[in-house]
Amino acid sequence: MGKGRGTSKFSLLAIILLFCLYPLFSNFYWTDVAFFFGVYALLGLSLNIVLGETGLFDLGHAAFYAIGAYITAILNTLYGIPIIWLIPLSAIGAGLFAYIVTSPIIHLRGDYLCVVTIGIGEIVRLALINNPFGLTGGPNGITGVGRPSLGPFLIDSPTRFYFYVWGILVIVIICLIRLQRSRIGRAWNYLREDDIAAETSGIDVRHFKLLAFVMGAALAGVAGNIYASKLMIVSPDTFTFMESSMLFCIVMLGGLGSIPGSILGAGIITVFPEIFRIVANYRMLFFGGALVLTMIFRPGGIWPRKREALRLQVSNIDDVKGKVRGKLKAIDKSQNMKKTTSKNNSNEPNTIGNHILTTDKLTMTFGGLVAVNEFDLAVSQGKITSIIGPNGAGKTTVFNVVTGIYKPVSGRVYFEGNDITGLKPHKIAELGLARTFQNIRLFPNLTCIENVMAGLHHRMNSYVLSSIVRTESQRAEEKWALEIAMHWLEKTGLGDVHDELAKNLPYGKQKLLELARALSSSPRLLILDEPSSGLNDKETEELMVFLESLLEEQNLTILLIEHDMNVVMGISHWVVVMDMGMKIAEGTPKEIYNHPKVIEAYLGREE
Amino acid sequence: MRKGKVWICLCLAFLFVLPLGIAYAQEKPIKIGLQAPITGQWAYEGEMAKNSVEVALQMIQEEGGILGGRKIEIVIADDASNPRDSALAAQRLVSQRVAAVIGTYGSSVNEPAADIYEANKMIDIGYGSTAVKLTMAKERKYFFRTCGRDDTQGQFFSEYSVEEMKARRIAIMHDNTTFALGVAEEAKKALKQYLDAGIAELVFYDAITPGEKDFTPILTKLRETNPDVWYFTGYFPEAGLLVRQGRDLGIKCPFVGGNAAINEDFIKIAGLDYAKGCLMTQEPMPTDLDTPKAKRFLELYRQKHNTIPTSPWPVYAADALFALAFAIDKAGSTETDAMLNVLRTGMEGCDGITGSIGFTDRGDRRGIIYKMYVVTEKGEMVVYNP
Repeated sequence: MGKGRGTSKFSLLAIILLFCLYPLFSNFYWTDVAFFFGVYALLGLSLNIVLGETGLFDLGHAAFYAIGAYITAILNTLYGIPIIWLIPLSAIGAGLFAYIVTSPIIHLRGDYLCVVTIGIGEIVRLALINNPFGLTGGPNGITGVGRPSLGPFLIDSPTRFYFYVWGILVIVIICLIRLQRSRIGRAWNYLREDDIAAETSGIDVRHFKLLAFVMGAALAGVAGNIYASKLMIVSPDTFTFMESSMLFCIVMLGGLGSIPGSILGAGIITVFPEIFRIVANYRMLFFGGALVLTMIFRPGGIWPRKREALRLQVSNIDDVKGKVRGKLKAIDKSQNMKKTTSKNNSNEPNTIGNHILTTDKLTMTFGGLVAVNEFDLAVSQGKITSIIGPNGAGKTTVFNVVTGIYKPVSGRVYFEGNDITGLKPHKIAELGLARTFQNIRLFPNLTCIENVMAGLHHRMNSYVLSSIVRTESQRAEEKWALEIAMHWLEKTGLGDVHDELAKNLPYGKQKLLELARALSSSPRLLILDEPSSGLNDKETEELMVFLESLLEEQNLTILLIEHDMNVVMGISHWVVVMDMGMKIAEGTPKEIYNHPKVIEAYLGREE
Repeated sequence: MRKGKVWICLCLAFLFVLPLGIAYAQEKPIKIGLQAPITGQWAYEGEMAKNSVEVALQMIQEEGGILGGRKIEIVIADDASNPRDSALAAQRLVSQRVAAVIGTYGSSVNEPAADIYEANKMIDIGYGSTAVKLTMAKERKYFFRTCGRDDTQGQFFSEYSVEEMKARRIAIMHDNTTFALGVAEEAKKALKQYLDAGIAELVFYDAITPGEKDFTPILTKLRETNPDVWYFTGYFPEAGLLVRQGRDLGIKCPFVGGNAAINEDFIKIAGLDYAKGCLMTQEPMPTDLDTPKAKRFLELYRQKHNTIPTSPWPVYAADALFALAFAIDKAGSTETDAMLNVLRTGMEGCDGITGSIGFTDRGDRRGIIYKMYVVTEKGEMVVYNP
């Protein structure tokens, strides 16, 4: 390990040296090409946050770039504010703009979002052309933007600009790498992989999508500032749809969510057309051809992100293990305390009949179809309750309503006595309710341990700044999450595959992983949607044993949908039978087994 | 034996050195850069500019070339119609050490390039960049342009209306946008000599608000001044309404629009009945040029490309080459300072396709040709020949 680190350090040093010496060996033209490479790397990285990390299709990213450039140009030419001061201002301005324009549209998915962002890009460009309040100078833009200076050191020559942009880029890269390997970066990745699973694991989807847009826009704003001060003119010709699609290409070419990939993509986009200058008219044709070929031969991007083994990042932790562990326990304890106190407060008046979850006349319709009709459910604390019923009876819909994915048409849901009807899924997850899905919903391109850590997300507090600075509490928190996640992986028998990508696991293990993710958040109610489907007899047996052991160890309540009657009859304390969206019977497994209505409606059909 | 070897060596050495000597005697060609939008949204302009410069080069060589027949080589740099590529293209031409540069099209694209040429002390002659601030916002020593400035047509209007149309009472209307105000101010400035001489009177000078639909109040005011000619320097949406409402109010004098006022949409808005007979100040289309060089240029262009340039701008690129060739020939060298000296002070006798070429001390084209166009009864725009 030490050796590998040594060589990678050496190659990093070599790359840095190469970059420092580059301007000495090239003329101003190639130095300028390298400068624009840097600007586009910044832009690529900024879009990578939105498109690569979070999976939001943004084809109007040039708008944020434009806002940054115009803020710099306007404030510099009108008020003479130095360019350097305008870097944070451009970032804030672009971020704020992103917040305002994307918050109404953030819930849109995939292609819809894509179309809207194209619209935003065009609106901004046209607004700039139309010269609002005489600020933007219309089609000819704003000229006479100043040059940045670091103290008395004026940045004016191509070489200085080259070092300027790459210096900023290095800082940005370090920040982004740290962010990528933190709670924030993981949350973005969860959203990209599966936003419903992320939401039910306790991640505030809207918040983190907006955060991605704001941060991406802010970074694009910084790039806009640098661009404006280099060219000394900003005009709408720069911020076209073509520019946005170029940025899109950078991220796609390099590999979604890959920092080195985005930089490499930017290099290709800026350097290739310059190499093909010799063929004049055809240079864009060659360039397009190169893009097509890369995408054919490397569909995942040129340098896709390798999920790194998470253990290694919290380095040197072994030395201070004892110290940190003490702290972790303190964190854990305080969190548990919080929980128990809140539990005590709410429990006393409300746990009528000791029911952890109750629904009151729950009704859910899709168009004209009544999926769930005045459904009453009471789940006893510390017991296993099963819902059975023929296909299409509305069982999964009940789950989706309880966990907040659907909002019920009428009726209420109470969890530990609190009304949780219509709460957002991540809020419900935070309250202590975790679930799995009928058809597995994992984060396929993340490692197992990262999958499990999703459940811990809402119990962690570190945010952007603390993740970039890597404060002590952030590192302690990461370590804590890793340990808990590892604990659950081992408990579900996945300890040895913790660094494997979830998609590479066999089906049975994927089911277990989903279970581990749900359990890691220490829920008090676990909702399982057909946990045994797809498992063989032996695996089913093991699962039953495991679930029963959980009940004892973890102070847990389980609610499950199951088709396998052996499981239902074997482990359930209470069985609820649904048909046509209504409850037709409930009772102990034995009672249900002999219930005439059940035999008629459900079991009877089998004979 | 030994002697033979020496002879062979000598012969071989001679064979190697000879072509070098010949090459030296021939001299290297003069490299002139052409920065143009070969790709991007204005690619058609770039293509025509390239063709026009090549035709101009052919014409120069037909007339015997410059500096005693030294070859000229055009080095093309594509600026892809955007400022970023423009900066790169400029930097590239600088690094290729061309003698001077022609380019480019589009003011905002020209701006960053002009800065780079300026910093590297390289002469740059714009051919399709008409924004006033390119020469007026900051002092540029090495930037010239063969095309007019956005507001030059104002000057042309004043001279034409007084001298050709014999108008005495002149009304000028603008809309307070940078462009329209610039043209109006320039017209007013050029009018001063006639006002001082007492042969003309500026009876109306005011602005409308763009976007409005009813201009009756200001037009009533205009009618009362009883003008001989009415010049509107703004844009076509207002121009169309102004003509309609003005004529309905009984303003009968000729209406002249700036080159942003009259186009097909203007005719649609005003209606052909109102639009016909309206005049426009405009850079001439290549076909409407009547200089001797223009004839030969169009002939050669048609021969080579089977068509003619469809916009006014490419011929200015050709004229930029004529200007540079003239400057190099007269200066006797490709030294920038020597060329600069000619371009600034010694351009008498330099003829281009659009007439004689000279530059003001800020680098703008002196004596640029404009033409008065008129909307015909069929809704076409042709040169006005009363």
